[in-house]
Amino acid sequence: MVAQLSEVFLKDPQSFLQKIQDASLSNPGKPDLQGSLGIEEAVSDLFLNKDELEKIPNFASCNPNELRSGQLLRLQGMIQDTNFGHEFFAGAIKMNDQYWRGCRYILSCSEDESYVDENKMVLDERYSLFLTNIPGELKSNKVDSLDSEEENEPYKDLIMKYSNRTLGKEDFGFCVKCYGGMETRLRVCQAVDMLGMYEEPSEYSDGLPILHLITFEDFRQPSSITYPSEEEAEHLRSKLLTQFNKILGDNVASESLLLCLLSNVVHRADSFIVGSFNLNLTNCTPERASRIISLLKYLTKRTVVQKVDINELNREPLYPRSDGDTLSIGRLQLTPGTLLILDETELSSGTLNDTGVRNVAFLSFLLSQQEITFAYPFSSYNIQTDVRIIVLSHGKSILPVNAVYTSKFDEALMSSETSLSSDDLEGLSNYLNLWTRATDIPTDMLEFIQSNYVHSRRSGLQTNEKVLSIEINCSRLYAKSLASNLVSRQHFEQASSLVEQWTIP
Amino acid sequence: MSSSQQSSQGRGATTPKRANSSSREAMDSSPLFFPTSSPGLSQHTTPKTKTRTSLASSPLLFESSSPAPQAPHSSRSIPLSQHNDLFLAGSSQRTPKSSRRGDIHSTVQLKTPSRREVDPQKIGATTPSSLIFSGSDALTFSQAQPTSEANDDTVRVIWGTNVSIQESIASFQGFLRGFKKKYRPEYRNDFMPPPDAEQAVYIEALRNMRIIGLDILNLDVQDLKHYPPTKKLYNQLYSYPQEIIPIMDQTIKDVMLDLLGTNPPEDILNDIELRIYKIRPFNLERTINMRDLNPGDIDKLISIKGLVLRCTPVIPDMKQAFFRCSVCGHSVTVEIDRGRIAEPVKCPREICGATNSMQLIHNRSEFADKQVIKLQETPDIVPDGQTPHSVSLCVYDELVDSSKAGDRIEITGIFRCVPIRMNPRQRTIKSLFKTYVDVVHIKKQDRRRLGTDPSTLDNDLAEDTAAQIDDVRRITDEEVEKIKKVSERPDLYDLLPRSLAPSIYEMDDVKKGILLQLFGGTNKTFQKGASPRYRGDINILMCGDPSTSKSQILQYVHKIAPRGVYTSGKGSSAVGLTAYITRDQDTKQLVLESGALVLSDGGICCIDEFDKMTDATRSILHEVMEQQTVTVAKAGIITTLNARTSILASANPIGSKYNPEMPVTKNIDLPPTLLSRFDLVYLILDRVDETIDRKLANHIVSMYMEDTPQNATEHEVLSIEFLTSYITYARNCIHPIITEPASKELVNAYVDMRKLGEDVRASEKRVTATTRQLESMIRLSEAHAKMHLRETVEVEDVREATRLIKTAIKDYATDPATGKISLDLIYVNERETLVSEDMVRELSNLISTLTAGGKTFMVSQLLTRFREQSTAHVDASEFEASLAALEKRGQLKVVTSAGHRLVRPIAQVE
Repeated sequence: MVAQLSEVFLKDPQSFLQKIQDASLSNPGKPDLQGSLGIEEAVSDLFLNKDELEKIPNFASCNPNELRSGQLLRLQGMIQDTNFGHEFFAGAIKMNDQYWRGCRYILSCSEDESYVDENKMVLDERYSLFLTNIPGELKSNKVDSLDSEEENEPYKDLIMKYSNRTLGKEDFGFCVKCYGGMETRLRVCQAVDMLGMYEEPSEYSDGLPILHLITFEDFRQPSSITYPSEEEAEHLRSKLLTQFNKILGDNVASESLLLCLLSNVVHRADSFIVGSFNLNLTNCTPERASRIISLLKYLTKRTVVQKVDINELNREPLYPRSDGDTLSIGRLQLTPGTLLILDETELSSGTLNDTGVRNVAFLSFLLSQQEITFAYPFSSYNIQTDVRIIVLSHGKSILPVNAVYTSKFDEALMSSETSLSSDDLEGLSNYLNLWTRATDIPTDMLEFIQSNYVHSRRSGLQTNEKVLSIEINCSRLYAKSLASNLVSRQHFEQASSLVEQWTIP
Repeated sequence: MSSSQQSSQGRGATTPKRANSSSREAMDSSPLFFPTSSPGLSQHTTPKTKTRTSLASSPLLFESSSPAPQAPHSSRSIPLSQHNDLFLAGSSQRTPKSSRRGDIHSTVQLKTPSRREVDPQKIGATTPSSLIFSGSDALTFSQAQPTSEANDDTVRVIWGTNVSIQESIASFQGFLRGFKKKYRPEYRNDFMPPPDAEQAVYIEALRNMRIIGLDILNLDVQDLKHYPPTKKLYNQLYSYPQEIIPIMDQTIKDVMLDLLGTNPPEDILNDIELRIYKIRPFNLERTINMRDLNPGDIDKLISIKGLVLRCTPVIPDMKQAFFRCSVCGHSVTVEIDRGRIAEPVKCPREICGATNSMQLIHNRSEFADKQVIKLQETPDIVPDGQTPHSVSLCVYDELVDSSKAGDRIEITGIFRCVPIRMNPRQRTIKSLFKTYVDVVHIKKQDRRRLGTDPSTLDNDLAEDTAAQIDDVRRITDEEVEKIKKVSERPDLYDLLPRSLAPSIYEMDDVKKGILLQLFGGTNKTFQKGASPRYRGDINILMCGDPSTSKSQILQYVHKIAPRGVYTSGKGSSAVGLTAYITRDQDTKQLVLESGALVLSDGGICCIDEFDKMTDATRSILHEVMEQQTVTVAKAGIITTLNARTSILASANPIGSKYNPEMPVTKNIDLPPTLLSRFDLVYLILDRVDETIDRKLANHIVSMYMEDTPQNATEHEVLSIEFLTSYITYARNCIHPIITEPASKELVNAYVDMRKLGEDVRASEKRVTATTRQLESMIRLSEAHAKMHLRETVEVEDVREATRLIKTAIKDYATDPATGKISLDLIYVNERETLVSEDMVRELSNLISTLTAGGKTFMVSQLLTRFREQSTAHVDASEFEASLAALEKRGQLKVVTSAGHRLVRPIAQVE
């Protein structure tokens, strides 16, 4: 039954959606246009059925010039702004004074429907979002034909209006229209996989292509993941550490880096962020940093590298900001799950201007609170995020990190041969997907950690609240790196010995 | 708004009147449209309408539609009649300056409102139950029969609504005359002395308006609702504002004239008749979040709150166009109808009749002020994970420029929607509608930021009247009930601190102090006296070991405090804190940008790493913390900005770890002048204590245990939202006054505190408390009373305030050497007070043995002997300080003789 439904849906989406709407409006009274009118429910299982989903063209892999209004389209991107317009439109019309006809998703209509008396029309509302590329995600090799540029020519001036909302010239911008309160479930900066109806750009849309959103899925992970088993994890872990050693020349540094790559925000207790772990690797030169960056970029798909030096900081705001009319994207408007590498190796003394000071404040806030600040006139908004952050610097970083470690870059351990086979690469990037996994501390560990803490305090060791919470957090991450669900005493001890090597600022 | 200027069919779903949506070549001057009064433009295209056409809006037709201007002037008993005639007669002759209000685009009050023409075919079909005016012979305002309704058996209503003009007028008149203060719901249960209770609020307001020469009446809609006869009117006002508001405007004038009595002076009469009175309704039952505005709200009266992002310059909005025939010179005026002006295609003079000869004469046309404001959601109402939404507001007439960018306002207005894409090929079904709000009332939420130009008297007075009405109103809300309930709980003083930053372990007294800071004392202004203002803001400094959650507390406070600003001392410069002058990107003009302290005016400024600030930056804080202003003199801009902010600062001790052997001033590297400006200084020390350590470890581990975030505290905790609204409510609504017993207690506590440091044996008296401490006590007691939602400061408030100060003082002003509390440790003359009492005593003993019998002794030798005697190293400066102390006590005298300094004992009288 489901298969049949989706078949009909894929074949002629407009009439399929029309039928669902008409069914829900069958009541003769004035229609109530609240909610999804049953549309989302009808197609919601589509995301579960991978085969069916494959049949729908994906924007990432198709030629945009071949798309036609009214066809289904899948689109992955980041929500740049949830306030891209609010409009009323004719949501339902009365046909022949007899029955109501739903007009959502109906892009074409026959002549007799065209001019309708206004009292035979019920207004509905929809919100628009602006969708653009997921920052840091590798762009797929799209077939870029020269025609596309010419095709877009008539709207080039119009579309210029929105150039502040996209980062690069080649980045796409989509206007996504949400019906029936769907927009309340979407968040700004979220990466989403959308399924909707495509509408070609026109002068009314200011040259932007439109997607009429039908249903969506969170796109935190590239695809559904199968976590490695504990045995596999142990194997992959040592493999990965060998790779890290080749560029870091230091076992502790490699282990620290691995823990950082596996961190995620578990929850927030007011201003206390539980779970995130930002690492500062010092003693890096630009060359060493670039080797680390290229390896990490290779391993994690969504990686953003930001240089932190006087010029870069002073150049332009890294944070999203609004002038009151339009919200401009910032280079660090990131989706949750991104790996952010801050390269401080070229930082030297100099003067920060206004933008620079604000950028540093933004970065500090991102590191300490895991929140992205949106600057609006007279106010600012913070959007909670979950990014993994590594700071590479020569000396101790200027930013508030959780732990600092001076990597030795021991030539004996290092190797210039770092290439990986594609199988290995796949295995390792899949292994790094463990970062999303939950790890719990069993209650019997509580007593152990308590006595451990009390003991070390009494014996006069330099420990405090801050060190303790880093120890606990790292024991979680350590357990995670072994694909274990629960933290054991051994994990805690291993983590503690790592923490001892770090400087906790 | 440009796209919305074509607007003949904006009423959307609620007015099924317009059968025709053809667009026309007409002069658009506004996105607004008239109510359902006339079929307007459709006359050319549809034969359905009756003879009366859109030209009806021209004054030329007044002659026929309004009754004869010769209606008797004397019959004052019929208030509806004369002034209207007078007015209409007048307006057709002279330039009808400001003859209508800008926000309501209705013809109701000036024209014959009864001229509601209806498509005859539709009567019965769509509104079979209501009888409708038809034709121009229906009753008008000008008709001298207020009882016409009774004569007719029919109920006449404005088309498409249930509004009967006569009934509405009568009802509103009754309200204006009959509404008394005692009807307000908040007084219902209270006793009120008769003169006050019987005060006819609106009659009084009308009298004041006439005396002051104001033409705005702020109408509290809740009054309308709670006056039983006008309950229907209240509902109609909500549903059909653009019909009801003009009726109300007209009624004001009627009542105004009526109030003049039987034989009013001619000039006053004329004055009133020429004025356009405007009603400005406000205080709707609920304010809608702007993202909740939906199609159902179109053309309804709504109220929204927000932050003004930008205001356009004043836009002249054409209200009446003046056309002259270029052939014969005949002139015609055309009024705006539904947002457009129908340009005459032909000279109306029969003899001339030239086509396309009419030219618009700009300087004889009439314009109204209009401004478009962009209003954005305030940060507190934006749902999590969404960017803020904004709406466009159109304001008219005297509301123009009454709010500035950055103001937080609450507006009452009519939600409008206009179709865009008005090209003829456009299909109705595909047209989109953009929305905006026509504003009828603006209320500034934050009166401290009131930004009106004092020269615009009208605005100020109008605002005053709004404010007066507002002042007597108590907020009635479910939440207030809950707040009051919580405030009565006996464990309130434990519950609130516990709810403040629950993730931070213990530190109850610090949390209590911060809580009182959030509530704040009462700001007072003195008419007499040197200092015009007495600050109610409480400043707190936390000083202590690293990693004792100081920064976390700061972050937390910054999040929940109204206008919290967080800054780090390390990265702050003086200008960053105060204000700086910068060149605006767009205009290239110099503008004054506010720094952290100015931005947190009325809130809390959290400064982390206070000790790492440069001295120059810190010196700025002297002014802020006592005078609560920031003075800027730079680049030709000399100004004093308000910075009425509380400061919550955190500092690390010198050498990053607190040395308990040294006094506070040696631990905190802050000048005493600044330190004394803090009401509370907390020392947060990292002490090794097994039980505390164990609990702390437990607390932290439990936070990391997934899916059990709530086990961080076992006790009941208030949600952060509730805590915030509790604080906001208390700050806004409670202004405690110190009672007689409390003031006595304050005096006693102050005297006691001063006595504390008194040591009968020591010849010098150490000061324990200063007047600054007394002021702190007052502020903290007020804040404590505020927290309990009490209007008076009681003895217990003072006791708690004293206790908090004492616990804070105990930690920070105890001389580690003597155990005595001394504020001298913080102020003045460090040289003397920082010497340990032991050293002075030892030195005194040594001197008395050496100089026994009145001998003198060389100072240099004395130092050598003293060093030999003591086990620890004696610093030369410490030695000098001890010597100075003894000299001050009168035990010895240092004299200089032949280049040597000698110590000479002074005989003690036993």
